[in-house]
Amino acid sequence: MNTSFSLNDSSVVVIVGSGAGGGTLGRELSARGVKVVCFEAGGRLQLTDIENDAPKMAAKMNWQDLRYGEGDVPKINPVTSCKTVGGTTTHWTANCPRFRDFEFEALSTYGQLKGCNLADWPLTLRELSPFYDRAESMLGVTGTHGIPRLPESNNYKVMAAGARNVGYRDFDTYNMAINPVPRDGRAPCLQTGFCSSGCPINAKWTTLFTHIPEAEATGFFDLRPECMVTHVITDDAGRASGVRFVDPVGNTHEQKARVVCVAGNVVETTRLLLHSKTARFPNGLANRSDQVGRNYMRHAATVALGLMPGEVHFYKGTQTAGVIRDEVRHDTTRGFSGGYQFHTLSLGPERVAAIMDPNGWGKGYASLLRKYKNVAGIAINGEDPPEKTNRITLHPTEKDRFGMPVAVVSYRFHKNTLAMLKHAQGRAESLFRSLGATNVYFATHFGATHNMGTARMGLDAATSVCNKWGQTHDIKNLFVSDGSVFVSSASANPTLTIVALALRQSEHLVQQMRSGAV
Amino acid sequence: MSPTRRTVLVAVSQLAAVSTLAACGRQGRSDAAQTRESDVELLAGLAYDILPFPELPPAPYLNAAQKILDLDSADVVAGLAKLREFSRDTAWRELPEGDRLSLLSSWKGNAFFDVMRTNTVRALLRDPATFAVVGYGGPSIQLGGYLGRGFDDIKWLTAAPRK
Repeated sequence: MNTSFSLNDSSVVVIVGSGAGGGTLGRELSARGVKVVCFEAGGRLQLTDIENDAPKMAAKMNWQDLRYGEGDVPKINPVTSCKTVGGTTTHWTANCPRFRDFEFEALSTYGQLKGCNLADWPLTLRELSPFYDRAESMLGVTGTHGIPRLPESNNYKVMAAGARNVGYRDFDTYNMAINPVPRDGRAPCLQTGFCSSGCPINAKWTTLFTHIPEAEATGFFDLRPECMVTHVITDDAGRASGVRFVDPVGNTHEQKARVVCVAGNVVETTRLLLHSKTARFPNGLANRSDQVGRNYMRHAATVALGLMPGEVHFYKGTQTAGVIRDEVRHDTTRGFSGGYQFHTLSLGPERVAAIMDPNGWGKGYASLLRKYKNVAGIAINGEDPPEKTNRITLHPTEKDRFGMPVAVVSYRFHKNTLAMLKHAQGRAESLFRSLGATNVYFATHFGATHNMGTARMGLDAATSVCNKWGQTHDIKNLFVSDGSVFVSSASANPTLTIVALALRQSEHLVQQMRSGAV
Repeated sequence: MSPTRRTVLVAVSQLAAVSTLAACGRQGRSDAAQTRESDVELLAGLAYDILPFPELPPAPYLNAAQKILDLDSADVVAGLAKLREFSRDTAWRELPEGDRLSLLSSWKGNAFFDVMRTNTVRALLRDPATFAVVGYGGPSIQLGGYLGRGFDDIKWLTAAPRK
């Protein structure tokens, strides 16, 4: 259904972004009869646009506009995120762990780590659990709500056998938003691989083919693809009154709004809030605490590749095919705070070659690459503590084609993260070697596509940006609806929690609109 | 100039002379331009030495070389000039392997070598012709995925060490 709301309709809720946060919020609000205008900077792909071709799909889906990195991240385009309807849910590998209870209480559990800005979440696992339940059911997460788990692939079997050898107990084919059987009109997985290039049969959940069309079917959802929001506009009373955006042909317009929800995936959310500064809000919107852009987290992440004594063909099947949860705990005898997960990961020959030897050439390199079929892969995903100095800022002079300052991502590994990675690498190596691996390789600079923390929740408006519903302390009708609100990163992949928080936020927002609070 | 480079240069120039003579003999004329390999052929020769898979036909290497030329990189232009200087119009693949590899080794880390290495490895590993060589199945959706095609067929694990 093509719904179109007027630019002057000040009763609409504007959502910036159509991924896990924005797509979910849009679906929930429109299903309750709230008029939604959802802006998406990227275009809209159809199922037939999705191919088993990683570089081609990256060109179609990824955010390509210039961003700078400083510190321990690449100097150019240091963050992977998507610019397409469905956002990064088109790209994700669909891992759906919940946070653990202690991970909502990072400060209380770990104590303050040196140089860090650890805090407890203003909500608990108990409070979020009903929303995790709904999220898992919506996404069709395997191993929850009676949904069967996915079958065991070769790569999983290698990891599981090694896990047994090194004494791990808690491992299985994980909780995945990938259909093992037909469900909700989505097909079952054919073990095609290429999950992060988009699923051409819609076995992997993405808002692009679920929440977005469901929202459109309500008649209350106006999707505006290829429309770049450049400002959140505030009125004389200091309330959000709409957004300024550039349409697909380059013309600038303003859309009025009753409420604005920003869900641009951390870097863009931060850029938009900071860029929307006014005389009244000289440090950017919702930034009286000076925390917008700070506490940027991206997980302690790397990939271990084992050169196994037999063929694995790890590219066959879902890119993530299993998990080991034994290290998801707080136990400082390991030399660090917080926990990490292992999950299987497969990569194509090009990325494997770069990890095995980023400078290799010649006959020796050719022989090494012939062993691609023997490679098994495990990713490490661990808690990354927030630091005020790990932050996203605006470049002082460089601007993009919309006149917005280019984002600068400054990130350095904390000592805790390095100790965790060292431990995890040692365990991964033992696991592979226990099965006769002849070599184990580790990726340097492996950034998971996980961005969190730059508009954190909190009880105190002086030290946080949003309350526990993602409503900004400074502007009551401005909400943040993506991973920016995370107080800590936990060891869990963020999407399920983003969806659960968006479900929770939608209830709060509807209530606030009914009561006239916003 | 380092002794290694000097040795290579001398060897290369002698070979070039021999090769040109041979070419003249074959063709019965002395027009060097007729036998001079094109830029794309020259870079394809280098690409082969960077990632040699003897079972591959020339096409994947020529495609890689074309992609490198299409970069319009000043480093590539400068690199080509140096290669011409060294090879004196002898086809790259006709130079002795030891000389070719010493030359490449001496260039390791310079801008031209980096462009060549990065783009050769990328182009070859993205080329479906290379998939079978490294044991990669590639795109599978058109074949119904890997569900019935070996995603869970691992055999050797049963014999792997158990603790």
